Amino acid sequence: MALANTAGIYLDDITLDLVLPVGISFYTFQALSYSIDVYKGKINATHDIVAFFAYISFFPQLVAGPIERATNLLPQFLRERKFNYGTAVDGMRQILWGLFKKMVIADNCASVVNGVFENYQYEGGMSLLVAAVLFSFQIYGDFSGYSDMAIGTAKLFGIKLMRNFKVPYFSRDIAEFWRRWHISLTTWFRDYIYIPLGGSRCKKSKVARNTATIFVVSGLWHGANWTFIAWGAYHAVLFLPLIITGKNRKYTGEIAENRKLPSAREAAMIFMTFILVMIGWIVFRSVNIMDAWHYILRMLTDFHFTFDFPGKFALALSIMMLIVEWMTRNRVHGLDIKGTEGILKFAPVRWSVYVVVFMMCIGLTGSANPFIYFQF
Amino acid sequence: MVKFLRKIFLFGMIVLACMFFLELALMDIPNEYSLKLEKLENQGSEIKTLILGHSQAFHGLNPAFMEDSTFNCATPWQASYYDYEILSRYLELMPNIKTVIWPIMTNFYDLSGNISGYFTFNYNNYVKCMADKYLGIPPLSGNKYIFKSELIWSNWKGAVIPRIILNRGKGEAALHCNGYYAQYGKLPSGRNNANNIEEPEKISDDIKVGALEVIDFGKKISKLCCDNDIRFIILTFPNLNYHDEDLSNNRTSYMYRAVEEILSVNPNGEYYDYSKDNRFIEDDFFDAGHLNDSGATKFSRIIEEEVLRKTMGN
Repeated sequence: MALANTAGIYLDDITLDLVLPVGISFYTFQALSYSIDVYKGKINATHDIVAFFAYISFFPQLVAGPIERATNLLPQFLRERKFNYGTAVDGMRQILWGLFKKMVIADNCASVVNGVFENYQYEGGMSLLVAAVLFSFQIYGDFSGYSDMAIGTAKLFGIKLMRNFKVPYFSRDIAEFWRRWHISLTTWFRDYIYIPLGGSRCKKSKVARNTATIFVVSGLWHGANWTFIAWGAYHAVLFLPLIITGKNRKYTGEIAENRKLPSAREAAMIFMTFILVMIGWIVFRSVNIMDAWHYILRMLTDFHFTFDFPGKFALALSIMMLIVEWMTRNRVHGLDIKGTEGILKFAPVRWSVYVVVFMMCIGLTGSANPFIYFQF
Repeated sequence: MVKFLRKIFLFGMIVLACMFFLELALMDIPNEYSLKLEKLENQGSEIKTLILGHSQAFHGLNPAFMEDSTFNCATPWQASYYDYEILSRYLELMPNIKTVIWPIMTNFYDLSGNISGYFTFNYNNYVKCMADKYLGIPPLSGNKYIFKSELIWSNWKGAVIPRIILNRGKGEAALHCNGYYAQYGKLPSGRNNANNIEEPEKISDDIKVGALEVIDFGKKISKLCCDNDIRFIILTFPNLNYHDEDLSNNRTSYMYRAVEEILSVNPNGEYYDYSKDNRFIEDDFFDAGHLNDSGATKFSRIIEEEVLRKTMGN
């Protein structure tokens, strides 16, 4: 809006809503994916206008993803679909898990995060640290919760959308984090920007340039604010050493495979990666770069460990979510518990879990907050 | 598909049963409306001074520091419609009432019964439901609530299950008007409300509608007090913004015009403006518009000495 005003074009909020309707960045990318894939001959251009517009504007993922590829989604509209009981039930479970992440985790975290970030200059380091941790859970619960609801809703219609999050906070390094966070956008940038630029099959200097480009563009995708660009650049700085030394694909397997708990080394790496990601979220959440800098500075210089900090309830809920996600880390979502061993193999027990989770969505929800990614 | 729908139905029934029990559990917890009704019904005859209004009055005037038996019946964001309805409906239960205190602030037009906005939408639904359920006051607009469900409408107050388990909400604190800190514990301090209020540089239609409604009910309260020989006092509370000269004269003069109009139907009505009172320093405020515990104590004492006692001839 500021850019338009500088250019002498006056845009008020209503005009801007018309020009930039909700979710534009998501379906623009889907339209681009179709055009590029047709141009490259990966798919044939469709002559079915209904299927094409269904692909562009499929309602569950229209406003906040996952950003689908024409190669995956378009053929599904052209095929005959039949109601599948198992898929529909799994869709309902995934919707419920998405609701839990949004209403219980993200909304409870939001009330604390908003208060602290708006008044960070009056807060102590401990409160600032907790708020940063809670924002990490808020944005994850908010965004992955929406994705789960979208994917689950699509399953009810027999449509399979791509997975968008894969327990990202259990990543052992930044490269793994980006293979697990907002997967549909990351792979989009990889396929349509990074690889056409030469990818990693060129000189190291060009690899560095390509990597930095996609991270900065990824930041810019979130909005015309320096904080997003700085967030993208920050991740580029963390990622570049890994790709230059060829260690970016060191952790592609499952975390703690065939084990219940991670090793001490894995746990330390998961913790370090989370801290690095959390610092990035402070930049992302702040109003401007200076606020982010002062926030981090204050968090580090005014830190005194105490149990007197806001958001204990939200933190406890977030830890609970992490435990569930750890236990189901090799499954598609947190309530993907059918076919598991132990007590959950009994249907009444599973039903009790579903009812409890649903009642938590009603009885443990914080005050309602709009989805963060609706603005992008 | 039939099997799927049957299971969804069964799940829905189980959830509804659980919700029913949660609703019952919530009804057992005292809330600000049930407690205020109880006070009005059981101890109404003892009330000599009644405080109406919104959060500034609720957090800023502590009856403990007032000599006459005082009841603070203000509630955060309470619209002037509810102030009038509470006074008119329960006046009979307060035969000894001598004084009514009613606050007015520079953005008084926000306290319309039809305010919208994200927070106020949730809050409004709660107020409409609870005032209807406990005080018998129907919503100013729209239908009466058929489902007066606290479970559905009280989410803005925070998670329901912890409230039930700990058997506490904000309800039990509803009669202890001793400043923001005491109410909510540690919250971000400072001037966090300072920039939230829009300046009505141009008085928009929305503001006019809100202002007219507040003035209308203000006049009704004023007239009711006049007719029943009750002393009517309008107060503007201390405001941190004034020290910073953040507020424009435009908004202040708009408030003064409203006060004039409200008092035009009550020749004995009084108005006291403490907004620029430099006895209140930053440490007395929770945020720009609300006093904290020390500010509330200071202000309650000042009102008792300078307004209530002085004019009563003591």
